[in-house]
Amino acid sequence: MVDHTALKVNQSCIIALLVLAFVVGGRGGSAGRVGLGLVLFVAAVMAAGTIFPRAGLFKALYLYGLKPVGLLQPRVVREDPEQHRFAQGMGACVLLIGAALLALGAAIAGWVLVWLVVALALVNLVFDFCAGCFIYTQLRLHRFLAPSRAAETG
Amino acid sequence: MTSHLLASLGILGAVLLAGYGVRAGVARRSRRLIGATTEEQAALPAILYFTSADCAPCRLRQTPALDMLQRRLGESFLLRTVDIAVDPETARRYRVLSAPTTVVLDRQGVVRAVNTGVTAAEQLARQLAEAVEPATLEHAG
Repeated sequence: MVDHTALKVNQSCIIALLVLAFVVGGRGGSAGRVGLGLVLFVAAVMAAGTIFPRAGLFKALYLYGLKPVGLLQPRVVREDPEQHRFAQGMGACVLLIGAALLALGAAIAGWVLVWLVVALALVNLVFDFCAGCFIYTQLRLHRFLAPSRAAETG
Repeated sequence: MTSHLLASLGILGAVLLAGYGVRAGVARRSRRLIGATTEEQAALPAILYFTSADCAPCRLRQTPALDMLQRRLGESFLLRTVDIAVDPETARRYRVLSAPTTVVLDRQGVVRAVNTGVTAAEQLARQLAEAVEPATLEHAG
């Protein structure tokens, strides 16, 4: 079971924080360190949410904040949650590489990777096309990935 | 900071515009591809059921739901099962991302609904009914 509203909140937070990181830190200098810190923060949240699904901070914001007060309604779809975890893990990896490039002074390459994550999150948010899920499915179709536990247990 | 803000808005706008353009193109292409399938020639609404051998929810929930639907609606619709590992081309054609996925086609072969994940027989029956005139879809049981 996957709550798509939680996914949308997650994507919105990622987009908002990464755009903020670029606006604040895109000029470099001390502000650049703030931007880099924000990118690292988002990457860490995404990585934590991938490794420990219950530890996702943006998801917790939805589960314990927005949902209980009735601001957002759940939209639960019966599908394999592994593909969304895979997509988030992929995003976290790209962001970590981007952050490393920013830290090493390769600002343009770093911000290009950050914007790649923003663009894919935006496409998922607005058009419901999850590029990471697509890659996951293709890898499974070609037997590069083992069947997920969700698929095994039903 | 203002220039970065404007650049951000510009990039976000460009991504959205590109996304809308791609979506419109994909929709047109899908309709052309779907138009070439046998479902159109059969002049019956159809359900394409995308599954795979390792898909437990397919075996445990989706297949029984479709069996029940067939018992209820008889031969008033076509059911075509597609194993996405055996026939990845069809899965790609319909942009299937995971199993189970059910695609409801009307009598012209136009996609009327796409359900990702297990979908109840009642919902599929509703989608089939919306895809055809009410008189065409008769209950067998």
